[in-house]
Amino acid sequence: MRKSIILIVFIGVASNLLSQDFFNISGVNEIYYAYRSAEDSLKNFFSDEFGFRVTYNNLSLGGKYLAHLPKYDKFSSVEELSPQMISTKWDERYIEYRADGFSLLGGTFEEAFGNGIVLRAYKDKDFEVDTRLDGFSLNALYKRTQMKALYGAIPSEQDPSKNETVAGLDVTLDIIAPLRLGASMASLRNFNPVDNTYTHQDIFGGRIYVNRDRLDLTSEYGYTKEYHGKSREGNAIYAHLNTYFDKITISAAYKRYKDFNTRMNDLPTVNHSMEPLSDRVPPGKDEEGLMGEIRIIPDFSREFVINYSEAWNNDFSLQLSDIFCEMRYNFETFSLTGGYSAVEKLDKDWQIWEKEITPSLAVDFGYRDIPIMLRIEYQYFQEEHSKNKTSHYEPLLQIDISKNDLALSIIAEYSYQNLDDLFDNHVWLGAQLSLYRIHNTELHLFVGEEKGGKVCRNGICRYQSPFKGVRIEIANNF
Amino acid sequence: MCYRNIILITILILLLAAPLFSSKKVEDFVLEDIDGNSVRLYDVLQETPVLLGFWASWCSPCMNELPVLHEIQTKFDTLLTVLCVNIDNPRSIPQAKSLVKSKRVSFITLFDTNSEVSKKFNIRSIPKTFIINQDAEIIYEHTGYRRGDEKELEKIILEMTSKKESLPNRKEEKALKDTLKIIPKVDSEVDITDDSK
Repeated sequence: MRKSIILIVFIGVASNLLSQDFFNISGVNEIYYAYRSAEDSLKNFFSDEFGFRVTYNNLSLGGKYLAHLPKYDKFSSVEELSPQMISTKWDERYIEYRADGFSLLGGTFEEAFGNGIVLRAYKDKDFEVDTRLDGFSLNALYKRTQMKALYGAIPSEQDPSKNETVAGLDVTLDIIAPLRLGASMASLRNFNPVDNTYTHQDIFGGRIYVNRDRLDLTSEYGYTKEYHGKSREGNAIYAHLNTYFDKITISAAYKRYKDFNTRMNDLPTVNHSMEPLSDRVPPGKDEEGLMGEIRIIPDFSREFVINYSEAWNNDFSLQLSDIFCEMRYNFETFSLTGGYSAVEKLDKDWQIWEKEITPSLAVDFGYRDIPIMLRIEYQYFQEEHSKNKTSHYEPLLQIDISKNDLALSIIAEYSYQNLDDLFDNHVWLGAQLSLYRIHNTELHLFVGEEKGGKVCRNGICRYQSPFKGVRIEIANNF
Repeated sequence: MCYRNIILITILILLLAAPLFSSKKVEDFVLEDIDGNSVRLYDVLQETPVLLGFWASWCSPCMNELPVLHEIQTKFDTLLTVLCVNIDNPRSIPQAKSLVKSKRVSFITLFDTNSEVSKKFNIRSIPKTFIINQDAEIIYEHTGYRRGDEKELEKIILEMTSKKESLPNRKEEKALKDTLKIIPKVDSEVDITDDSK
């Protein structure tokens, strides 16, 4: 009896406290089921991601729990997977205190200093990048000064049982109205699997921002020194200028990176397609590049943009060029978007030359209050590996239709080398049905096959891995 | 053992009951705008309801939605504030700035480079739009942008603003007070003139 009274009193007091102050619970639960039509015997994959955040006044705690049955890893061999292999883990856990102009977080966190040249700790599920840190992060804003400090650990890429550590400090200062200055430093302790030792690396950065009505300038310089036997030095320069005239915007950007490849940074690619100079040389090792852009917007219904960039390394054995043009017309009843993109890459040492040309056209219109979007792409690939030339075409046709909370998207992709084998090749045909807003729930059902990459369906863009089969995704927000 | 059970049951009950007491209010946040000024959601909500949109420069439907959000901000002017949160990565911010400034948009652009706010709002795909009333409650949310979506957005905003029609909103109220402050001065001037006459 006494225990019951204590329990009732406790619940009463707790609920009173919770109802009087700011108390909030939010989160998302994502259920994913896939039936992969693959040659191996393992076809069924199930996963659940449960993320939550509890906030009581200034204090928040949250986390994300992942469960996979089994965990699908496209790099691991099928023999290593079994249908009974359940894997569970905490993807993130944190506790955070926030007050006016101040926050302190303990746990898993993301952080970026400036443009990400000195440090960027983040997770990108689509590109399988995870450099989030486990540790402490402090943010403070006082008048016109912003300060960030962090200390955290991350498992080594070479040996996940070993931890690497990062300590960093970043200060941004508003000097006078259009001018802001920033300075950052990061100290990394990297694991070296060759001799089972740790190396020490320091990174320093300074940056300038100028913000005027007719001009934006971002410029950042980075310097790094790694101590391991003979010390290694590197540097990075990045600048981006936008100038605004009445209906024309002209932008220019420049980069030069030398021995500035660290695990904890995210260097600007300085091209429209976000392409790295080479897939075999780490970004920041040795590269230089320029980008120019002209954007003409006579009014909100018309827009034209042309972007050109080039990149190269010190001896020009690696080269990249990227051109992108786009025109948008918004009429009363329909809109039209025409685009052209061409990316060319050269690797002299490995005797590889690649070119990818993509013209595209998208029409957006309404038929009896039903929005319809039609998109046509006609990609052309040319490759030369050790003087062996190949080329092929990849046309794409997409149609998106929606009615109320129901949306259907069908994408057909095709590949052929020449007109003789036009009807003998493989067709990637996939359809996705989406249902929104049934009690904060989104449901997506995909049937068919898709090549992967950035896919925009029913007005929503995501990066998608290559897939064949049936996929069901249910996300519930609370 | 008995005490352990009580503690476990208490925790379980609290966990189950907590959402009942949970506030429907959205959590406050502070982000930098295009000029580097800090913008706090709750400060904006003091003035008007908020249309909160999430977008990125690589998202084609978002590019179609931006002119619509500009139109909404222009149309509803002092009745609503449109906050567009850009979720591009830090290295793409200069490109996103160029895009927004060259379009001369009327709404406020904020940058969420560390995904802090997009995590709070459980953003899984973009564009995503929320309408938040002045009590900081989400009254509408929508994923994606398709031609004609703006009709529903405008309908919701009109419904929300018409409910408050009888009461002037806080921004208008302030403007009214400011006007009233000026009026006595004008009157006094008139009085002085009258005396001189």
